[in-house]
Amino acid sequence: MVSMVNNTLHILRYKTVAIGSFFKNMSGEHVLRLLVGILVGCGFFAGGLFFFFKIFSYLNGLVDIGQLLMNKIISLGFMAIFIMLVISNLVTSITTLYRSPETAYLLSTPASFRQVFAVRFIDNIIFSTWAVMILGLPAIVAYGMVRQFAVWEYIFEFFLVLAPFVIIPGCIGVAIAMFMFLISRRVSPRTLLIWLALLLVLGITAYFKIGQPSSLAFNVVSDFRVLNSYLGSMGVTSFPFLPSFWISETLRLISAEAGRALLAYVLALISTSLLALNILFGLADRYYYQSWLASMEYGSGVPAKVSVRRKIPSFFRLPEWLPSDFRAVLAKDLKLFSREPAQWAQFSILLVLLIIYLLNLKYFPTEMKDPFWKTLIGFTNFAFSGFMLATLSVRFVFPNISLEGKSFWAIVSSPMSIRRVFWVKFWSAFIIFLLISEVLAFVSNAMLGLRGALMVLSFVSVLLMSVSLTSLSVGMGAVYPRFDEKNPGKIASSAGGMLTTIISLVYVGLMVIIAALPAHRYTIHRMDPTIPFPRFEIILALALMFILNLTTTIVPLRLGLLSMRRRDY
Amino acid sequence: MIELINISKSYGKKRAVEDLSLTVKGGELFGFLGPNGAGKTTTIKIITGLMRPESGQAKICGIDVAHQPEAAKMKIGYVPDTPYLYEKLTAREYLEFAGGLYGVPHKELSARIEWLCDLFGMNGWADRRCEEYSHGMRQKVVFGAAFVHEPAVLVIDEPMVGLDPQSMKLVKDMLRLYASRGVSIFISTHILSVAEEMCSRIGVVNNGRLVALGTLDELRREAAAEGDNLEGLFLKLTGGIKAANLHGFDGQ
Repeated sequence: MVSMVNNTLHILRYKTVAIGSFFKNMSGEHVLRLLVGILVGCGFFAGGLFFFFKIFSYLNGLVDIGQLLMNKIISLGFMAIFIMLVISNLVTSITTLYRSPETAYLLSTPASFRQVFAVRFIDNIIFSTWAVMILGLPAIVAYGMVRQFAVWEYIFEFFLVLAPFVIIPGCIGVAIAMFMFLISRRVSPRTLLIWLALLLVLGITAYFKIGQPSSLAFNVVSDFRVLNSYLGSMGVTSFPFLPSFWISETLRLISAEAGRALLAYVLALISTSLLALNILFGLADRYYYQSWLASMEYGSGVPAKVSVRRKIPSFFRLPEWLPSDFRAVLAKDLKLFSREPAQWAQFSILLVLLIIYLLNLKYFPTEMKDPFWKTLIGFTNFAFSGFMLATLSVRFVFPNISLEGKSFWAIVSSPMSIRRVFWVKFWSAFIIFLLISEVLAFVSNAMLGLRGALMVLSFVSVLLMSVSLTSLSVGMGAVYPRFDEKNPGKIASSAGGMLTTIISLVYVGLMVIIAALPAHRYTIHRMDPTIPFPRFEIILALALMFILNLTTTIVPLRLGLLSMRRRDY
Repeated sequence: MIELINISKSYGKKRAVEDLSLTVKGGELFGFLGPNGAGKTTTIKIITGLMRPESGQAKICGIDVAHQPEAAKMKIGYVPDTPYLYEKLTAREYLEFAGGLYGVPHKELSARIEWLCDLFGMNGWADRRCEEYSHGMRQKVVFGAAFVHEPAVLVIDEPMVGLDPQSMKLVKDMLRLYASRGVSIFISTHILSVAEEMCSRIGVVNNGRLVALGTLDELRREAAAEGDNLEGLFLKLTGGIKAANLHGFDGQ
């Protein structure tokens, strides 16, 4: 046991030495980028804190239902984080615990399989968790501020509640990966991932069907009398056996002086995480090495298919008016995407989540007459669409340049200019994004009963958002490339990816704020024609949107292009 | 033709290439010889536009790589020292991709890919994904990609690494054939025998500086004048041999 811990610590110590050496050898440009990243991160944290603090303060002020709503939001948030962490741990483990040269090297040393597994499992948890947690931090701190947490209560929540909470999805994700490779000799991981994605979709659909979280808004805004029946159904809809419920309960109970109940939930979290670790390490002792061997063999037994010779190279099937180099890179990108299960599985899951969101919009009240609520719902939908687009662009567009990896030499040493490579990456992502976002805008507006000017405003805003968010991700992906990393999830959650996420979210927030005021005034004008048409507000909003979108489109692309041109390959 | 005019490049404080000038004419097989870390790969990356020199000029067929990179790169076929490929593409798809980048018309490209697959013995595995290939198989794909657009200049970094004897022979024959057709070939290697066997002219580089340049006969004469052979001269020019202290490593 002592030797196990010593060896594990020995390996971990050299990891910290490598990190220290990275910081010591940072160039001036890297330090500058880091400082900018920290500054923007602080700004985002402050903005997020302010935003959530305002929401929670408002809810806290509502008698009876405020606390309930707040806890429901927190519980739903943790549920989403839990699912994201399971997926993120599963996908990341493929490149940390399995297909990683570092793991292969460690397994060739006298370190035991358990030691190697322990070291790589810690890496996996850190890589998969930090980005999600940093984004969720402002909400947790804001909740604590509203509920007036003492300093020890924050410390208690972070170390005794949050830490065991992230371990549980980590164990689940890694166990699924282990199982997946273990049976890969019989069932291909591709088929298995499809089944897992389907199961997840069914689970989420069931959760929405049973819990109907969107119906909450209806209950609150339309009729306070239905609240009692809603409160009665809360016991069924909150799933008390899920860690996301336990963690939201600890937040609720910590300042309510309900020591025993609090202790029960904390112990539930700690004991479940210890049990999960115990089961995982038990499984790893028996199956990790076997599953690792299977992961090495996976793909090598595929028979060569030489029977059919294609007369026309496949990329020429793309439209002929596209230049040859453009088609070559585009066809290559499409093939690589379709052949990477981690990529399309996550993309499909996000698309299905979008569809579930759209289907659930039918629970929203569409017969409301109050322009305030009508505009609010319209803009909440707009903000959510923006948030989804920002998530999609950072997850799938930002890693595009980095995913060229060490094979990028082939393009850089060819006659294709970096500018053209940029255009391929931009247009391919933009067209897909525009399609998704316009469909999202149309269906959601139609379901919410928003028509006329609000619908047009939504279409235009979504078009602008698609251009800006794609440019941001393409440009920033080139400013902060990670050519050494093959996992797109890890690239998206790198420091550059986080910075892009933050800038994208701030951009979406600004778009919503700029568009909200004239839209609200316009709705009031429609309801009461004696109130003048908000000409000035509309012109001002259009001008501000123009400046904002011009900046977020041109600046990142220019910076990215410059960075790529100045780089040695 | 390749022209390097007073090329210099540093990594931080380390001078990787210093004031390097040389010319490789059409039809010439030029060997760029030097120990590890001498500046060979840096020089090659400058020629192929993967790096920019701090000063000096690299020209391909009279075209400045820094000022007209696209036009210059159109003339080059490049084989890097490590054959990184897109792992999820097959060899055939990779060759299609390479041909597309250089704008090879599709009928011509199909025929060339078939010819290259036959030539390098890739037919048995050209439709499998690159992630399954050995180092040698990857090297063959990269060679194929360098030849697919019929380049005027071939730049090859460590050509024989990972190749089996049959493929080595094939590559040597192909390079001689291309040279006889007027293609300029720039080969970097740290193995003297490779340069000796294949190249008509050799440049020796050490610590980023060109320390010797001439035909094989000229270099042999220079070595003989100093009572040495070519290997002795090469070792002397690149820092000599440090006698290893093997004391204590006698199997105890």
